[in-house]
Amino acid sequence: MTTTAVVGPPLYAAQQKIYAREVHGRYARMRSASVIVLLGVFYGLPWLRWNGRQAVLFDLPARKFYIFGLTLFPQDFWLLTWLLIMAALSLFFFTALAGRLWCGFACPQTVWTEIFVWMERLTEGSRTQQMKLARAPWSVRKFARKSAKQILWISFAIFTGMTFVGFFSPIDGLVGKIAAASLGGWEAFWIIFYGFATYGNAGYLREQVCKYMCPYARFQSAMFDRDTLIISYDAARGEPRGARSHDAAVRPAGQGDCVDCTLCVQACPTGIDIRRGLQYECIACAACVDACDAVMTKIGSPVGLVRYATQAEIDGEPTRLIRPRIVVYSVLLVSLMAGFAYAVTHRMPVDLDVLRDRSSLYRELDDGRIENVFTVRIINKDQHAHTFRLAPVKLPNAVIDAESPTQSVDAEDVKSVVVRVRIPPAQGHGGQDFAISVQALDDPKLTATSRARFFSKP
Amino acid sequence: MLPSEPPVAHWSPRSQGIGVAVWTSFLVACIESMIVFAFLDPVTLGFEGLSPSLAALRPMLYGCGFFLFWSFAFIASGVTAYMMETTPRTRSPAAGSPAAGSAAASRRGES
Repeated sequence: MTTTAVVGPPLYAAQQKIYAREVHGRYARMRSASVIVLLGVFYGLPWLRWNGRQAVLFDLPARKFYIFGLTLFPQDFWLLTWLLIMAALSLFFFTALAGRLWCGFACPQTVWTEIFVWMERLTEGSRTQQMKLARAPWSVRKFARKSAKQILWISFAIFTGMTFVGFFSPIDGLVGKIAAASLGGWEAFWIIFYGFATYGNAGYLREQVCKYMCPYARFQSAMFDRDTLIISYDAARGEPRGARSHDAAVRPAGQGDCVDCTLCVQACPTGIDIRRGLQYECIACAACVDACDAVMTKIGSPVGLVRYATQAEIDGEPTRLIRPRIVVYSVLLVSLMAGFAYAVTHRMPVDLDVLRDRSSLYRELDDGRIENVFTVRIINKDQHAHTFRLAPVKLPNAVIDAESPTQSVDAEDVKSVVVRVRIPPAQGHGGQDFAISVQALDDPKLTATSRARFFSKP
Repeated sequence: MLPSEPPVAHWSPRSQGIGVAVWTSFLVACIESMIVFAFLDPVTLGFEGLSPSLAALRPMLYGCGFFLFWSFAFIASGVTAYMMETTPRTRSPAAGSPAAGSAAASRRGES
């Protein structure tokens, strides 16, 4: 290991690769479990079937999103917005409660990096072996190991890109097209784009994304308080640090628990020394906790010299779990979730869009009646076909002359109909508000109304 | 003996500016594409004639739209990062002396 004694931060220094030491322990196990679950969901979901079609499919060409039994149309966009607000609020809630849980265990950057690091260890060996290999001159062995790593990385990245595109284009068809080498240009492009982004981010950029590019890493500390769980070094217990003789149980007088083995530094994927206190680079992955606990166990000291703790706990004060911000976040989150669940389960499976014909405001027919023309889009979100009856609302004596006053719309389909609304002569002047409604013939509860404006002679 | 000093290495201000601009503009472009294309079907913008199949046309227009949004957002973020990086710092009373001048230059990332 070459020491890098750089005085002050240099402005231009080649980025050094961080070789994080592999650790074992409960947090490493938790992260592995999280990686398996999250990647399992990502890679498995597109293969799941539901009622004869892909269970989760964002069908962009048809402008429909299928999520299990739910079919979402562009008109349901507000649900997605609601979902994103809930996601942001959950992030705030968990950050206030337990710090950067997201960064250490759930962020795609962490999760994919974990897999890429695992492949690197598989092909290039442990931290020390990797550093030795990097310094060694090129040889057949080095070439073989580096190529094996690249083959693993690239195939996994392409597989990732394919899975990503599989959320937007039916994945079984995609595999068939790849096998037959008849992939469409845009599908091929996005597979390569997403694959390359994964390869670059998880293989090379890694912690640099968190340190230099991620906005969340910069503002997350605003949600911290003294009762937020953070990775803490118990300086009162550890200092003054110092190495011990071979008989580790014998401790020089006045020396703290830290034996200065530097394993916490070697294990850190962002290359910081947690003993200097909390730093914004810390992604709370707890690798240093696992590393330190193993050493403490070995030398017969209690574990937890580096641990998940609140600042209050480190200072010997009680930790308050319930604080105003926790209460506010949880109340907001629970009400938003309840509202969302209600909105999804009680969603009216029919929707209506009314657009005015732009070419003319109104037309006077030969018999003196006034006619306005609208384009009506009936969106049937239900999983069954329905026949709908169109009717004018709040416009006395109005009649609808559609191509047909009843319209059958297929399951999960949108139908555009040109509708002529006519009122008797001399009834009302100028513009008046009214609405057009649809009602399913087989289920009177299935109804939707959309407002419009009717224009007659001034 | 293993060092206890963590490895020190930093991106130059220029690379940081570009990295931040690429990433933030990417996030903005994702959200922008989602909102814009939820309300707007791009084939209705006069591109109907480009391809006989709407199913083939839409992904292309979504893709082009996304990269258009990304490039505009990148220009905004990139120019902001560049302006921030090259802002002349407030001159200290000792400004004008060779040492202060070179320190200011090195802060601005000039060699």
